[in-house]
Amino acid sequence: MKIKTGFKLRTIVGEHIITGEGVERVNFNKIITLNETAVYLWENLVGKEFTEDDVVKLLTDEYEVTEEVARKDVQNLLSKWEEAGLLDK
Amino acid sequence: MENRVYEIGGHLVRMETDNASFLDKMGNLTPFLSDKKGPFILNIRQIEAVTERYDKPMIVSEEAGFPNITVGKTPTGKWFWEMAPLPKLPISGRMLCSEDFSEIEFSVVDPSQYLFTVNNVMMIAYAMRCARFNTLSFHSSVIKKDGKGYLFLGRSGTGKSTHSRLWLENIPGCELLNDDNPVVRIKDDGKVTVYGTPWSGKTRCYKAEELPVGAFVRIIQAPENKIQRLKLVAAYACLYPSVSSFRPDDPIAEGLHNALSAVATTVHCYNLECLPNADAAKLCYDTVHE
Repeated sequence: MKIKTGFKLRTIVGEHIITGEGVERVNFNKIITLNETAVYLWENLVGKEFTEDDVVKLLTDEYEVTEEVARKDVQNLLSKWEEAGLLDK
Repeated sequence: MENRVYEIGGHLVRMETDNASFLDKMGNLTPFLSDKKGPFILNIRQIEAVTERYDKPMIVSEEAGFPNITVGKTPTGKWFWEMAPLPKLPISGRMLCSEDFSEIEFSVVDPSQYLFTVNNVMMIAYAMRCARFNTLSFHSSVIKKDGKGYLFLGRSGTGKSTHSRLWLENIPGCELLNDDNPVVRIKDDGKVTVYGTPWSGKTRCYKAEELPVGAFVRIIQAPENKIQRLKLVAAYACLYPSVSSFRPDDPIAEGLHNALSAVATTVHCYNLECLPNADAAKLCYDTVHE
């Protein structure tokens, strides 16, 4: 899967948000908030083709977390991103 | 060529045309006439025909009941816009903008749509140009009360104007500042100010006045009246869709983000779920005016 093009990560007073700014995102009027972990993942995933395993590896490489817990979090996050229209599967 | 200078949102806009008598007949523009000699944030020139074109349209905005607009970039890096008052109507005007939107040339294609074209060219060019100068064109109805401006936001048809009317009818001392397209500016000292403009939708209300912003209120139709203050990101998200924008252009997107962040951190924003009744106006006023 892939993060769709045309999204931009921005910051308001320490809060991280995703806005749709590209031509292809003209009708995207939502603001998606990301926590620090999600920002780390976003920055490492944007523009790339990736699998769930890749994202789990990113988490376990950077944070002290078991693969099992990481996978649950990743599945949760990816389904939220998909629901928000951020992913191409 | 003759010139007319208008001061809108504290910025000077210069119009050049062979037909200034037409501009002088536009009652929405005359309150904003200025004799200042510059600097001009925007130069708009009417020409016989815009001949440059985009390779292909980047954006086509086509929605029943709204102006039809297509935008694209020309081979020389300019922005080309084409507009019609409604979908399916013939093109009424064309505009060619320098990359930073400081220099605009436009032509009126359909003379019967002169007013629509001039107003839309000015409104669009102003919003695109001024986003990078902490100046936002809001889609909003604004009430003046006790020296402050209260901006009602919401999609078309949700009842912004209706809510303004309810304030006018039920809260003493209210006045309409603008009913459709005010300008909000973050001043150098950080104060957030709202200005009346020559563009006010269907309501003739063209006031060259500026007021500190009291609050932003997003109107949502609901079976009962309820108001809630929005926290930072929610406030940003509430303002975001109400600003005229063209985010595929980075300087505009960047300018809008900076200005919206400043507004969302400085001014109180609310969601008002409401019925179109007097109680909604009173609840709103009681909550937001402190």
